[in-house]
Amino acid sequence: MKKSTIKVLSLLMVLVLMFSMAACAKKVEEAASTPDATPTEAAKKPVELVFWEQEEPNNDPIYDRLLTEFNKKYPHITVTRVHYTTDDLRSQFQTTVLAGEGPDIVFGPDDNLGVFQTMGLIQPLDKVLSADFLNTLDKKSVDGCRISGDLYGMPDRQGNNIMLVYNKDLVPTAPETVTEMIEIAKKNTNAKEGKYGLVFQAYEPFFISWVANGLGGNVFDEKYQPTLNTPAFIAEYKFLYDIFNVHKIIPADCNYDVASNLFKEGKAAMIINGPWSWGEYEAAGINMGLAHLPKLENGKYGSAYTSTKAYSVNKNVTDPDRLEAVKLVLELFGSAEFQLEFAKASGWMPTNKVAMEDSFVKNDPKFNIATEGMKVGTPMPIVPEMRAIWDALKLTVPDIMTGKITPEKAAEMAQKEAEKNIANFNK
Amino acid sequence: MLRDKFERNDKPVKIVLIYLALITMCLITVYPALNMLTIALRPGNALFQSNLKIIPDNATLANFETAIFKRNLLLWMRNSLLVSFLTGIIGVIFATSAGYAFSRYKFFGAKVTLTLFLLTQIFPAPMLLLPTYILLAKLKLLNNFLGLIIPYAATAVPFCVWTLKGYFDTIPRSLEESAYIDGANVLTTFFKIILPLSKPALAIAALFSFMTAWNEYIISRIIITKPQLATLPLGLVNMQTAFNTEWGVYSASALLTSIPAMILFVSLSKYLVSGLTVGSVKG
Amino acid sequence: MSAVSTKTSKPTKTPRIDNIRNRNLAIKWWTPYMFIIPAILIVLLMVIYPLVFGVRLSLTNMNLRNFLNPKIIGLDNYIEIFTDPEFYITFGRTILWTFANVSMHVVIGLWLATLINRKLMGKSLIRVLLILPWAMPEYIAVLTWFGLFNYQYGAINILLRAIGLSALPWLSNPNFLFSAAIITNVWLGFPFMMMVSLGGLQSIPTELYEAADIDGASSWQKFKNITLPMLKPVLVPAATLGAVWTFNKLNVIYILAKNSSDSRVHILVTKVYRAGFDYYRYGYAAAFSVVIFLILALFASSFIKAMKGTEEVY
Repeated sequence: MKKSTIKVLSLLMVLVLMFSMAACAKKVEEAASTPDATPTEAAKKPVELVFWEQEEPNNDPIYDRLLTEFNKKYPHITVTRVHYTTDDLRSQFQTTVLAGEGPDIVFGPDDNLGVFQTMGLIQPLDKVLSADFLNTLDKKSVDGCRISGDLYGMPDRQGNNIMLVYNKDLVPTAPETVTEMIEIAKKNTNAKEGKYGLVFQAYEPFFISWVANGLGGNVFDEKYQPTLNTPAFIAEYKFLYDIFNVHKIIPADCNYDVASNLFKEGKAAMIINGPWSWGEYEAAGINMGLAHLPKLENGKYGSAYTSTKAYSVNKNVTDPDRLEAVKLVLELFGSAEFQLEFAKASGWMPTNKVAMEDSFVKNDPKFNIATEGMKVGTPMPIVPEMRAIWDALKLTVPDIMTGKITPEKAAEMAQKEAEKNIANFNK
Repeated sequence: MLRDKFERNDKPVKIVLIYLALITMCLITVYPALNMLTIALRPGNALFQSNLKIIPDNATLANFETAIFKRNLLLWMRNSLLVSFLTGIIGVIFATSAGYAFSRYKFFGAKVTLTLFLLTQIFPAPMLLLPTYILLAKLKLLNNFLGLIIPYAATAVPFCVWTLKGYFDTIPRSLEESAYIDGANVLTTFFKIILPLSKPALAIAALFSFMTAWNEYIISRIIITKPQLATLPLGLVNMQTAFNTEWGVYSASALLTSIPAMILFVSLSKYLVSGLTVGSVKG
Repeated sequence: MSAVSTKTSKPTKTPRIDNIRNRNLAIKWWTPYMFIIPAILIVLLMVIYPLVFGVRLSLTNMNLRNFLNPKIIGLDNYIEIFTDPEFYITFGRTILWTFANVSMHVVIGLWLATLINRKLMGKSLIRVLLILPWAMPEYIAVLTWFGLFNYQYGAINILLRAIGLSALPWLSNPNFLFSAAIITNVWLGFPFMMMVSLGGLQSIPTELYEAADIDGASSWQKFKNITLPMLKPVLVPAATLGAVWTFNKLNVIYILAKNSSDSRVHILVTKVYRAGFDYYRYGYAAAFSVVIFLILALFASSFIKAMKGTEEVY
């Protein structure tokens, strides 16, 4: 029996090697042929576009309604919307474009842009979209989607920065500084009754990044090498270390769902979380207040990461009719009407200048404070190396939470891990 | 008499201990499912609570309602049932005929083929994604249930072949030989004599193929991109978002999802034991 | 698995059918091929192409920066794998993971099968409840366990506290996380072994036990001298298959470790996934996959060889 196994294996290996050698001449990429680009006959030939997103299910109806209206206006264009989780969207897009397929339009957080652009999966939009249209959008967020000068995404929303969320019944006035925040949290902590002062998804460094950002820390130097073993990141880890081990104002093993549950049940006085969660807290009947992330030792507000979400176009879309249809769809997503609907549903700040000046955005107290937070925020780097940084920062979090290592040691380890991870990207 | 319900040799103490052990194990297997029920019945999509109550305070069926009427659960269920039944049928047909050949004939390449089947089981899943996608794209089977059924059947067939071969080996050859003497040909013998005797193994093969398709996520993720073709695992995973997963609706859907599989298991359970003869003792 | 064929079909390998004078298909040399062709075709289709593709990819530098135009770099990826000390540590952990899981699957499965293989009231209900983990979609089951392992609110720690023990950091400490993954996977896998054992137990002739009773053998002696050897031909292939499945089990560790970037919980296949889909090192991940493939092929063939020894029992 063993003999036959070896026989099969060696047979397979020989076959495989033959194929591999034969294929050396060609390139792997050619396994995937580009879709047919048949010349256009009629100007209004029907176009079927596929569009991938990773939105919250609550926003589905908005997309569906607006796309149906769009189809009435342009009967020759139908848009199929496909939902993915964020991770799936990223990896599926790579697989499908490699095979010469894939959606025409892909929508996602701006950090996907860096990955897709480096891989060569998306095309520059400067020629697809008109300068007039781009001028209707906020310049800062449009520029955030440029990589070496070329535009790779059309942002339709910005902000998404986390804030300090507090239960007004327990905390009458929001804390101004970190020290005040910890004092208030201590008063509201009673572990025996399951009550805690401050909760958040403690495993994700994203939720404490406001500390290092506010203290002027940078994850990269100019050459995109990590700079994590610096006072700013030591301070960030120290904040985490202290709330778990010194002040004990947060439950052990506090992940996203634990934190959110405690806050919804009124058992947590404060939570650090983003606009996607606020509606849910209000729906749970919490008398919710929003505040700046508190001031740090340098007197500056905590600076949360801000980001945009953007639409990008598959590099395989070359047919002029398709590109024209893509342009029309992107103009819909860039319109004030569309963006306002989303702003109301999701709490993201629009990028359309008219929408940004809309009375709803201007007068809504939640939007006001979130905009304030955005102003002191730090734009999230969109380079793919950010992944290496997050993994490195995350590595020591469990040990910090349980007090096993010091903040200094954690920063040192994060730096080493980040160097290793980034080297992996560049191999 | 009660006595008849147990083995004659078992002492009452032993019977009690056996029940104790079995009930403990049943609790362990059932608890996670009950935990899902608790989450599904709880209002407000709360994932955690600090007690072990099965029926939570203010239990509500709202999450089940949302799952059925507001999400596309029924559509996903229909798609999954279709794909899984077809995979089951194809798996059984292919595996039965192959298993029969391996059991009854000595032919050139038999060992090599059986080993080849083993190889399908040792592929690391991540290795399959890219090539499977490209292959099915070339065959124009993207967004097509056939594009799911083919890889699922290929995954399930090897195990089914081994099971069926093991079972056929236990059926005496003399049955067929006498049929041949009576002038029956191979196919009639196979259909009229062998298959009716092999129901338990056929049930196993069908169940195994069905479950392979019913639970599969990774391949369906890349093959199906049209929402109206989504299968249950796809729909369920899509319910999760980066942060705000509606855990209540999710758990309710997950429980509803398990029902068809459970029905199948229960209805086939009498065959399950006698059919699982991966390497038969009776040889 | 193919060992099964050698063993079971040994007695009358060539059908006597050739001797029978009739016009039926059985005498044609191609008859068996007609029977296996559909299965072979579908398996070949889904095996050969991915294998060729994978090996070809493993010789390239396809990654983030060379995604659409990868170059052939020969064996560099393989050299990198084998010169990385972490590979051997992860390999060791994978063996531990596989061994711990499969041995627990077999022990628990066999134990439950012997308990249930008797006249017992409510037996069919108990059996259905016991196979529940098999019927539950794996992805959902693992997510449920993720909740059960929570330090503060998970049922397991609540239970531990209730019986006076202290809560354990299941998801934040790499050792506990690894243990939690094993517990979850044991839960997922023992019903299969139970059913396999049960099938085997039911086919052991009762006369063997009756004879042992006459000789005055104890229960343990009967188990050791009759049950185990008789079950070996059923259990060994099932355990081999189980080991292969466990070795490549991606979901359990991947989902439970979603809050951790600690490499100390990873097994080979989760590392492949990370390298490929988190770090976009497609060429390297393909090479890693080929290495796993070869390790398992070697393992399976040596197991099959070991199986040959057991045949002589009969």
